Amino acid sequence: MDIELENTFLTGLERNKQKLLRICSVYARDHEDKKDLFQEVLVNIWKSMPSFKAKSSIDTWMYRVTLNICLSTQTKLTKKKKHFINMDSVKLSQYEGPPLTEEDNQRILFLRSCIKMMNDADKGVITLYLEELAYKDIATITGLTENHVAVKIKRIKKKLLNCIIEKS
Amino acid sequence: MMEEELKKLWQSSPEQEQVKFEKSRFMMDVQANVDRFHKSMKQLYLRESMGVIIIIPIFLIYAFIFPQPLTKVASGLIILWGIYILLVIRKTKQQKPEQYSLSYLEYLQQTRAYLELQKKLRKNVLLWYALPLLSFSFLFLVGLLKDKPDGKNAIITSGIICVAVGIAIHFLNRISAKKFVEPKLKKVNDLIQALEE
Repeated sequence: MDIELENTFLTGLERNKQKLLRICSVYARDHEDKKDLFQEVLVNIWKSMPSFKAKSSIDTWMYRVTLNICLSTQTKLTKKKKHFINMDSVKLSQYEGPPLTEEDNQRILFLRSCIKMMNDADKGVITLYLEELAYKDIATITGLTENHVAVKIKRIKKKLLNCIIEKS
Repeated sequence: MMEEELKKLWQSSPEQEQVKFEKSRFMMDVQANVDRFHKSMKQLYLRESMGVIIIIPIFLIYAFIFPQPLTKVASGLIILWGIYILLVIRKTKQQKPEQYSLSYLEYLQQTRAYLELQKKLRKNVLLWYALPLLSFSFLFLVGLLKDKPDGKNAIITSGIICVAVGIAIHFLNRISAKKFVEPKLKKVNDLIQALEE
């Protein structure tokens, strides 16, 4: 194993693991599916590491791989590999932060369900936006121009807010 | 709801789990899965090519064993067909989008190209797969049977079986293209359209 590559991988992963899991969560059907998808993402990021050329940052590159893996499982281009990927070294434990108010909990539920209702392309773009990526990075990840990304985000945000208002 | 509030809300979900890696085992786990993946891909390629890989040496032996010129020619043609099929399988595999580091749009476009190829191969299966194989097999049988006492009837029966197999392969592949490939292709086209609009 290439030590430098391994260090880049582990450092990038440590910094982005929560974000990658959140991206997986919008494409997954349930908890188990989310865990499988996340493990598949980890394995494929490592498998693709030799193609990482440091042209973009490792963070942006990891989001790109994650979105493509989520997409390929959605179109069932990659067969489900439940039997194939099994990583005991990856644990998902419950969040231990400060408790949120009932109202906030409700809003989070609405937000998540509204995102889940979108098409896969919009899901990807809005998730990256909510993770506070710059338009330039979102453009690199999606392959769109920055202007296009800005217009798209504006449109999706409007849709999202309308959906949340309707639900509440 | 304000934009900042949306972002904060998204990132502070209490239902969200915390990811923890057991550092001592994590890299070994990941590498083991990558190795298993490569191994299973090799096995899959072998499984898909197995039929053709078996056919080639068998017909090579037939070409030497049977004295009839027509059978020899047919055996040679079946061997050439086998090599062609191996090349088609290999080429198709190479086009499968597995470069996950492409941009989302490029990945979708590559997926579309792959699915279109799959659709084309299934729809034209009669031309590139069934028709050559069945015609060469028929020629092989004609060479074997034509001088036999009840050869004529056997040749007619083989011809009917070849036509029936050809029709079955054609329709099964049409169904497969419609049921499995076209829905995926539609989904990818819809995604590209949604992303570009």
